[in-house]
Amino acid sequence: MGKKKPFFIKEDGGKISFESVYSYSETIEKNIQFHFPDLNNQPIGLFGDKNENLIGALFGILMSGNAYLPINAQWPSDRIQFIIRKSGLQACIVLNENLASFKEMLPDLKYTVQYLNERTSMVLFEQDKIKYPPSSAYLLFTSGSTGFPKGIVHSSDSMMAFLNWATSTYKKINAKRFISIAPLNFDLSVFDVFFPLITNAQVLLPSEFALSNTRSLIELIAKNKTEVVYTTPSFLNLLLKTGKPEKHDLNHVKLILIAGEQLDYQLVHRLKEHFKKACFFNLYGPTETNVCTYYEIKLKKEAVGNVPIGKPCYRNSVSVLKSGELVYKGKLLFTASITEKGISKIKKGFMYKTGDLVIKRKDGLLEFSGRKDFLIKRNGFRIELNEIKMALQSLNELTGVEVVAIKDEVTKIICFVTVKGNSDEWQLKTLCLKKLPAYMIPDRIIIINRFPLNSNHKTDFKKLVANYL
Amino acid sequence: MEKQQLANEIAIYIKDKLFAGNVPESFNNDSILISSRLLNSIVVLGMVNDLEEKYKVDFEAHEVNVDNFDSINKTADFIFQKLSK
Repeated sequence: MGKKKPFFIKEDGGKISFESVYSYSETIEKNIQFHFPDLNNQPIGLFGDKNENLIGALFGILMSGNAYLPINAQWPSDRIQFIIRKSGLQACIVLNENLASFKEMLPDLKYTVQYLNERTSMVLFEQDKIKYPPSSAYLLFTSGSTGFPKGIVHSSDSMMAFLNWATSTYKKINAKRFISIAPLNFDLSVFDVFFPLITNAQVLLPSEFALSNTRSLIELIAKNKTEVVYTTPSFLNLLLKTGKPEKHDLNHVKLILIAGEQLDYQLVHRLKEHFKKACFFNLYGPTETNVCTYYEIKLKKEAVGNVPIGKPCYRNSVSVLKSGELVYKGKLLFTASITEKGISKIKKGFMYKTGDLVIKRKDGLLEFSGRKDFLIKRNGFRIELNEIKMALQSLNELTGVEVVAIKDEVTKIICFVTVKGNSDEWQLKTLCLKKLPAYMIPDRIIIINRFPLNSNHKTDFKKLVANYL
Repeated sequence: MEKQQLANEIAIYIKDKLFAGNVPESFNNDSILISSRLLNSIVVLGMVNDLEEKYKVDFEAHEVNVDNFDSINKTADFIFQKLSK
């Protein structure tokens, strides 16, 4: 601390130097090595509010030669236990203030708790390890099409390939003040956490309250003269609509990176009214690649419609199939995935079919045009509608479920259900929280008497939406 | 405006926003909105904005919190206080 250059800036103005963070990370590294002398290239969980201690522990996990696996406190118990089991997790580092709530999440697991220091504890699990591909750095769990969460494993090589691209693209902007908005289980956080570290900059860490309150967040961005903001179109839209940006001078923002969802020029025009001096980039990539294409937005007054996802971060790494599906092959690629069936490692030269449909424009730039399946994006999080359907099907109160996504101003998830008994929408939503993370909770659960059928005796979705919405 | 009238108006607005008029029996003016995690921030902040415009009040950033907006009754109490100042 003292005169040392700050790395983390807290919401209350507190500053934490890199030296202080590093020293704490070293204690985490030593603790891991003490309790698990042979542990290497294995995931170690992270649970707690995103603050300097949690991110310090994240660095400590990497320093110990292992990979971090963020576990979000908003996930339901079933999901957390599934992830712990399927990833063969040996340990999870938990902030002491979050330890009681973490233990509540583990009713079916055997574990012991080891107090590490005044900030953190380690929860140790008794289960078999899984063999991971070499140099694993992090695991992110997203929604899975089979009805269970899917884990994506990235190596230090794919992480560094992303950071090297980011450095070569954004170093010229010479930004020194960043803000970390995305939760650690969202891949946007890889940039937020590591890019400031490698460019000797500082990161503002807003509290959960500020992140859920756009007015406080805009105030913080203005007060701290933040220069780089990286988030989703939905969140930026919310900032503009409800954050009262007009009350603040935001000319210090140099760079706005936008990813996670389709971006419309209309939003960029509105952003430009408040962030007058910022450059805007549209970034694209599934969790399996992190960012793999990018587009620096040259905003012209007449620009309307979809902003292109641009060109590949690395030459020749992206191709488009005849069907229009975007395929990635290259160094940004994940190394393995984890499903309910176990770990599946990818082979050298693997081509990843993203499921995203794109159009190659005359100028060579790619434009996102839709999905080939039922995956949707909500505030950047990918959601498989089938996972919601299966979660609801497991509720005893329901006899039938269909799930649709309706694209309004934001994407809305609507469930149509038939019930036995007297359950109502609010009760069913409450039950959903035991099965699904909050971001996957349907906007509406509409109770109907029976599903309309088409001539093939399958659910007629057009009629369903037309009759009940 | 009377407090009860304000509460009724806010209840109609919020119920319409959440359920398009088809209000579940188990939902009432004390049902927990934000800390139940059943509503996402897009819905909550959108409602806060709408109510601010409707009643021509100005909520400070720190006032947009769980204490003031976690149920229809809490929202009505808070807006009533703001209007009474």
